[in-house]
Amino acid sequence: MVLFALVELAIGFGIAWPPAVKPALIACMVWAPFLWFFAEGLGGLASGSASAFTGAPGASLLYGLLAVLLWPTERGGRSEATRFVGTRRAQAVWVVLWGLLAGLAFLPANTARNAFSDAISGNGTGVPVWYGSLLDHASAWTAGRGGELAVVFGLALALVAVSVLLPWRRAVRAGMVLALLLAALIWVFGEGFGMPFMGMGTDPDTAPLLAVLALAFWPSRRPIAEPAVAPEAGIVEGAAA
Amino acid sequence: VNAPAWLSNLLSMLMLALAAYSLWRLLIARAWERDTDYETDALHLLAGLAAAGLISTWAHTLPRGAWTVVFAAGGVYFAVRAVRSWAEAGDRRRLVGGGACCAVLVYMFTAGVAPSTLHGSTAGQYTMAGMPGMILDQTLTYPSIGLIFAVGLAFAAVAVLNRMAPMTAQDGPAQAASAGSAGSVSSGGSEGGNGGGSGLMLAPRSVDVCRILIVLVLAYAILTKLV
Repeated sequence: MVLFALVELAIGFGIAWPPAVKPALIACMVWAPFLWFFAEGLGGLASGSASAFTGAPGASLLYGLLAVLLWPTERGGRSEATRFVGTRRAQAVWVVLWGLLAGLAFLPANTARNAFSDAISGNGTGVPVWYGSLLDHASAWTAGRGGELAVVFGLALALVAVSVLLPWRRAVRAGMVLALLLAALIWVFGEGFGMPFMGMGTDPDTAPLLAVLALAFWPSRRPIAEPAVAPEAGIVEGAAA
Repeated sequence: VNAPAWLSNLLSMLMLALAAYSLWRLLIARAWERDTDYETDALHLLAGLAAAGLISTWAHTLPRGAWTVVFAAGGVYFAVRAVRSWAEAGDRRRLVGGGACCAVLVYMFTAGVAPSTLHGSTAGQYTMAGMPGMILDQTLTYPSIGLIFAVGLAFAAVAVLNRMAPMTAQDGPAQAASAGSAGSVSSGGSEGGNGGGSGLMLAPRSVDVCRILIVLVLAYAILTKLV
């Protein structure tokens, strides 16, 4: 476990230190799938009960995704996430990710009467009093309403998924704000802040990463000018789209 | 977290070495006619000693109350200095950082951050309350504040590291050329110039490294009592 922590600290600090950004991002791309497969069990996607509310599709997958999308480049783009892979590919990643999360919300296990209530109450062990009280209230309110909440949750996730395709910058921003709001709700009520108070937390879970992803897709006020001559034709095709 | 004893011992030794290095800087800077930031070095000396005692029993020095008073006084000192030199961004950042470090240490000494009494590793185990084999050390007061401090410390470490420029062959001559402008920002990103030397900073990057190490060890000490 200590070795895992040291590897992750090295990757994190490598990304923070400008001269080591690229090697650290490559290390992240190698490390993330390893963790996703062996430590996170594919983020629960194969379990039949995976839900964005409880940590699907797995934090490691999102770390790897962010490492690719935020690869340092001089290229321009409509947002940080589109600069390296190009607008269309970045949009495709966003739609697939949030579309997947929306789809998971409608799985039978996630539309059960107490699906949300059980998930929320499961975060209550060892937490501070104020947070335990908040979870108790939320758990009581959601009890028996799993079906309705799953529909609302799934539709909200679907809205976020398609928002990035809209031609109006304000609409895209509204989608990102909704994504940030959902990430906050997921983190507080579904993921228990990554369960740091239960003695079994190993990471902040997926919600902060979903928020970072939303910020990375936040459309800039004016698109940064594309270079006149692109160095790599294969990537430029997407970037210019 | 039930951290392995060897890791706590290693970090304690690291903190003591860091404190010794900071003391050496304080003593040697004037003799070598180099500038150093005496405030930061003094803070690192005290924080290193205190942090070592917070994670290993054998490194215990002063009583908790005495350390609390020391860092409370340090926090007030840094706060007053920060307000007085608010106009200068470099000094302000350094002084606010020092004050924040003191505030975290005051919290740690008053909230019960201390060497774990548990031994062995729980890596890979679920530590559920009331379950046989449960090994959980959650004796921290105000854990929410502790978590906020731990996250803040992690961000602080990243911020310091992000400001650190890589060392180049031109650093020495460039620094020498800029000598004489006391209070200037060094090439490594460390602000200082409180000393009365030649204006040439004494190993400024090592101060940043010390800062990062202290911040990480403080976060570690909080987390071992929190999660």
